[in-house]
Amino acid sequence: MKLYQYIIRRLILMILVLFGVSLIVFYLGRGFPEAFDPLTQYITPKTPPDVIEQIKKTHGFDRPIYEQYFFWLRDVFNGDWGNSNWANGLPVNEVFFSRFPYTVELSIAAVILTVAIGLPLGIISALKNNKLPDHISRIIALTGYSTPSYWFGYMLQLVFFYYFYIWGLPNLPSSLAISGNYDVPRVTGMPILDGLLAGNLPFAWDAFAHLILPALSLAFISLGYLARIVRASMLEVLRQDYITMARSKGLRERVVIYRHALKNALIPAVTLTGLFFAGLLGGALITEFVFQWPGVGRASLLAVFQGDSNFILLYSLVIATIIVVANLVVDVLYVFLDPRIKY
Amino acid sequence: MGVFDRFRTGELAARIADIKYTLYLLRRNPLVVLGSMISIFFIVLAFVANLIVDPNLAYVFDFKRSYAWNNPYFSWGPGTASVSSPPVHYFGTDGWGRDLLQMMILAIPLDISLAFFITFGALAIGVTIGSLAGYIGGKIDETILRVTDIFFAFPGLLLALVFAAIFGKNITYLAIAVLLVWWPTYVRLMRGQVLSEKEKPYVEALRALGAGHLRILFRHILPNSIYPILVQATLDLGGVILTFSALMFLGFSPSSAIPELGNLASDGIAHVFTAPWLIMFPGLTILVIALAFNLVGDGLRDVLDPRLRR
Repeated sequence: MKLYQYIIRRLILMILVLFGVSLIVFYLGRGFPEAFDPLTQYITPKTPPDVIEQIKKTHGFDRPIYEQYFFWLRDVFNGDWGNSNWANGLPVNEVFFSRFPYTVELSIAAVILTVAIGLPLGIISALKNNKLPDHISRIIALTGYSTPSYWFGYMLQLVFFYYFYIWGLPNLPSSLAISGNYDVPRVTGMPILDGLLAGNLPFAWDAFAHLILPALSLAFISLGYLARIVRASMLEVLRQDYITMARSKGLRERVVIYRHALKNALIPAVTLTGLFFAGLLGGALITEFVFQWPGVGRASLLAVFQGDSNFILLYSLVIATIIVVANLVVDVLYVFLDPRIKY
Repeated sequence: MGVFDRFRTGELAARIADIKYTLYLLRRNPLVVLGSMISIFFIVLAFVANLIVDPNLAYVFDFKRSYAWNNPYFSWGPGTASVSSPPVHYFGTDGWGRDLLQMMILAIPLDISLAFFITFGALAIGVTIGSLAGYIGGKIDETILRVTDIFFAFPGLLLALVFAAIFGKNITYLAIAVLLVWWPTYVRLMRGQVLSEKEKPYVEALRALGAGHLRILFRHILPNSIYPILVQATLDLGGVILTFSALMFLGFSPSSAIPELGNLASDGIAHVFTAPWLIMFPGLTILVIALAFNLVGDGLRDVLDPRLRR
């Protein structure tokens, strides 16, 4: 199979997956009116009864659920994803894409932190295998994914926001993405980038300060995992013949490790980082909740609590697309990173 | 051949010897020993918690003592409310004026039993479906794989939230919601294991001997391929507690008075800076329990890895 054939096959599968996701989420979101009543997103207490009847007719809410699905599909292909009552009745896609840049910003920061800490940690623990640094990195890794993210988030707030303030130290903000109003032009929607683009350095700095704690909270959970993967693949590579060869021809250990071993050991790390990033773009629901971050994760949480199936449908389809595409990109990237792999 | 002879010779003896060797390897890893000691402590605590603390104390409310700190050895600094009259509350009190330490002890049975119920439920479903998919192959395999693909394309927590919202606020249904998002992992793992195992010569030999498919699959392939899945299950015990308590924390609890670690922490959201203990100690307990299970699982993975064994 050629590479492009493989990609086409995967894209067809992706459409199948998205179709499946839409079916499941539609059934869950529309089949249980006690939990998610679609009508509530379109009406207010003051809406007159004849208008309610009209809304029911146009969206097919009075039909059986399998017919409703086709009504929904028709609306979606016309670009109408429905409204979100909890977000002032705005169209769902506007709500989503105005919040998405915040999540992207947070994800990028978290991934940078994860790699910056996790990668060296993994390399060190491979080089000092089964010695103290390795044990420490193992404990950090396991603690990372044993930590309730809400707990860690609030503990960061408690120390760096509250106690730093009490002790008279410069403290970090504990919630939201910016302190005041968004008084720079919205170009990218990410406050740091917009601040820099507008040349408003205090604004960008303020946004950066808001980013530190949530990003740290997210990175703490994933960096240990990355370190363990880097360690495992590094150990695997260091056992191979070409490393012995490189050493025996008298290369310095630094050159052996950084020029010869690391390049191959990084392949699994690259793919893992890609998948982390994709997962984070789905919004860290709990971390965004704890830090009141105005991203899509917190929005999806609000949507569940407000019984808004419109938002959940759009959200889960976008996230599913991102995750499936990320998996595809990672698999294709493998071919370029590792010439032995062929499709 | 008597029942006891089977322990000395044959397959059972070999498996017991294998388990003994595994335990020997595990004992040499101090982190595993630590993890299993903590795990055993909490499992035992789960059985005796209702004897240590009267479960009826969960329904004794004293609002004069709500969000209060009464521990002579430590002070949280300005901004926190404290009482000085006895009884002493080493971990403070919650919003209902109950002693937090007592409530945390009462919470252990629920959290531990749910972790085991959800993990082994997901394991049973995943192993059955996964081994059938891997063994039968063809269209059935492809269909099952696509279904798991769909599940992997969601953020699991959101799906659990949606299930929870549909089912209503009820502990059992909440546990089922977590179970429903958890099983696909085991399907994938088990399927991969069975795929690699069923091509081995011994399976061919069994077939030549005339063994039936079910016998080959469940009597021979399953015991040989279950270890990585059990390791994953050990690691997941911690993850399940984290997810379940997160659901409770986010407000899917039927009542905020139920002693459950996430639920107790949830009471502290609005009082993070005035009653920090209310999130700190239940969260820390979840961390310790999850870490203990993860230490055991991580050690098991190293020990059971055939490349590192013998």
